[in-house]
Amino acid sequence: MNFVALRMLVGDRVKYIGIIIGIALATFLISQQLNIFVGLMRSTYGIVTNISTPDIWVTNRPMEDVDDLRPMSEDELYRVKAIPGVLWATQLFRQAVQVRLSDGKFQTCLLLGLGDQALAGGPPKLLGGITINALRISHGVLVDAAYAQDKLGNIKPGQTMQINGNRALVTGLCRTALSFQGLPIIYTTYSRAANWAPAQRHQLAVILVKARPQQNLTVLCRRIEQRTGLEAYTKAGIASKTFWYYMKSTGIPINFCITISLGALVGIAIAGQTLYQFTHDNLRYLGALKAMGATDFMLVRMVLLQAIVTGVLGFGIGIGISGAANMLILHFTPPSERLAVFLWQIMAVTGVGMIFIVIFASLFSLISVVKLEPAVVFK
Amino acid sequence: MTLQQENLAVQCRGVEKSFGQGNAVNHALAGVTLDVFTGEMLMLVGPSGCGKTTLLSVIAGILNHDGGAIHLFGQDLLALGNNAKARYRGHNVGFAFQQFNLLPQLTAVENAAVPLLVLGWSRRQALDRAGDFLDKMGLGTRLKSYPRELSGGQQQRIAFARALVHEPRLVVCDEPTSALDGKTGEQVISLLKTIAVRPDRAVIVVTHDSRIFHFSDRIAHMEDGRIIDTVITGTV
Ligand SMILES: Nc1ncnc2c1ncn2[C@@H]1O[C@H](COP(=O)(O)OP(=O)(O)OP(=O)(O)O)[C@@H](O)[C@H]1O
Ligand SMILES: [Mg+2]
Repeated sequence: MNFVALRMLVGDRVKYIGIIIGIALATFLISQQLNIFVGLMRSTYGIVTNISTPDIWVTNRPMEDVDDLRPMSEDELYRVKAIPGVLWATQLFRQAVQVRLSDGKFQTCLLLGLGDQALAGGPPKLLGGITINALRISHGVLVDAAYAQDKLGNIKPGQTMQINGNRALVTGLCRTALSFQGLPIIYTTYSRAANWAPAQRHQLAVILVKARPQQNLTVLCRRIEQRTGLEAYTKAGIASKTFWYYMKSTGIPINFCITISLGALVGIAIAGQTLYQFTHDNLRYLGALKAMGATDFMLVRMVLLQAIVTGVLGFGIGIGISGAANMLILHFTPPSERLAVFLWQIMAVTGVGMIFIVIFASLFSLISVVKLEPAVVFK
Repeated sequence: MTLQQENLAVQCRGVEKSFGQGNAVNHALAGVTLDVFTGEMLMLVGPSGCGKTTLLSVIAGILNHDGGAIHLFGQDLLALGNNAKARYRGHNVGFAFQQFNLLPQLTAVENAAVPLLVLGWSRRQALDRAGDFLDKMGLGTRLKSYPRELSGGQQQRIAFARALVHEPRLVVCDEPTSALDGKTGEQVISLLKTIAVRPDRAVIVVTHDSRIFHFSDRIAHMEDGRIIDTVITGTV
């Protein structure tokens, strides 16, 4: 009976294409919105990726969002170092600064200063075979390659820029995760950063902690908080805290929810309505099949097969369009602004969503098939 | 042909069926008593609205009666659940409808193969078998044609092939000639008579068409939901 179901479907070209278009449209809208949403939300904790945290990240209280840290006194570093379970701790400087480029233009950047001895907390990936020791060269800074190209006047290693009137020499390129605020990140040493940035009462933004082997990190976080009154997080903890801060305190999730639900609705409306119309137009023949001995189960299977075939085709086309759109967007946005992602997880989630949409859309068809009286064939 | 108990295909005793409720109730069948035997072609005739289609539907098990008893080859259809009844129909009953009801998206041979597919035959075997059948009915050259490409008489022949391809013990036809011109109608019924009527099979044809009465073995007259008489017309 499967081929009968498929022939019925393909034989009605207009509706067949209509159902596929509905599902393709919904797939496209949903996956596209999810891609942008996930990219955007991932960028909210980009800074956490960009400061490679050994184990634990300690900040002043209260911390809502990693882009809004209140500096603390340098003494806190020594208090944290003294806590049992801490192997070592190092300071991190973090402040927005004005950078003057060689062409005279200004660009606001995020200056990160890594503790001079360990240089811990550096970028997630260094390019061109350099090590973090490139920062030990005097005046040395590391910049993100994409930002260097897009926002820092295509600066290259060996060239200089001015940070608050101080000469900074690019000694290497790195790759950083995109962050929500979109500021280019400049890495240097703690002492240089503190020298270059405008003076503040406190300079210490984050204390990065390496725990002793076998030390339970959550326990150590609680201990640090109790003894210092600061806030301590594991890497995952800070990422999720920031993520949820943006989820709760901004309209982003709601807006995306609305668009995604609209996409789902459009899919259900178009696909469901057309599928129902299709089944309805064929009721007479389905009734004949019923009279000739087809059970409800067989007819339900036929309708589901029709729904699934159109669903799979529509999903494939929708994902294809989505991928093509993504490639276009990538082509036209500079690397430092490429927020949208194209993840297989999103395809999978969209696929599962489409299965529900298709099943929901075929529900009315299924009901009418099961309720169908075979006696209609003699009418 | 013998009208004997061991050849009994359908036994109706005081069968009732009404539609609607209260004042609007319509007793479509008001106590039908009728026997149909294998080996015969029984024609069911009567004025419009007297209940012919309803009787055919309850006998074929696509409509439940609400009074009296029907036995199809000894089986009480009301005793079967919906699915069991569907399977019973699939094995034992062949249908030919007034509007043919051929699936427009399927070719002639595919349409004729549907009852076999419903019974779970492989597509290949079902199509082979249906092809042979259509050949016997003179449609061997039109196997791959779609119903819309065929004449009414050809479509009705496909419908007959579909009613017979799975060798059912009972064949029911509702007004098989009403959509055809007189000559084609006669040809089609003549063909039905030749290949459908067998000692082990009963054929019931509902019709208005007096031009085809002489193909019958017996005629049952119906009026107001009852059989008023049955007349033997064939060679007994
Ligand atoms: N599904 C239904 N709902 C309500 N009334 C029905 C239904 N089916 C049939 N009837 C009524 O039952 C009576 C018998 O109908 P039936 O179709 O069996 O007559 P018929 O003898 O086949 O008529 P015709 O020769 O016009 O086909 C009619 O009055 C009809 O209106
Ligand atoms: Mg009728």
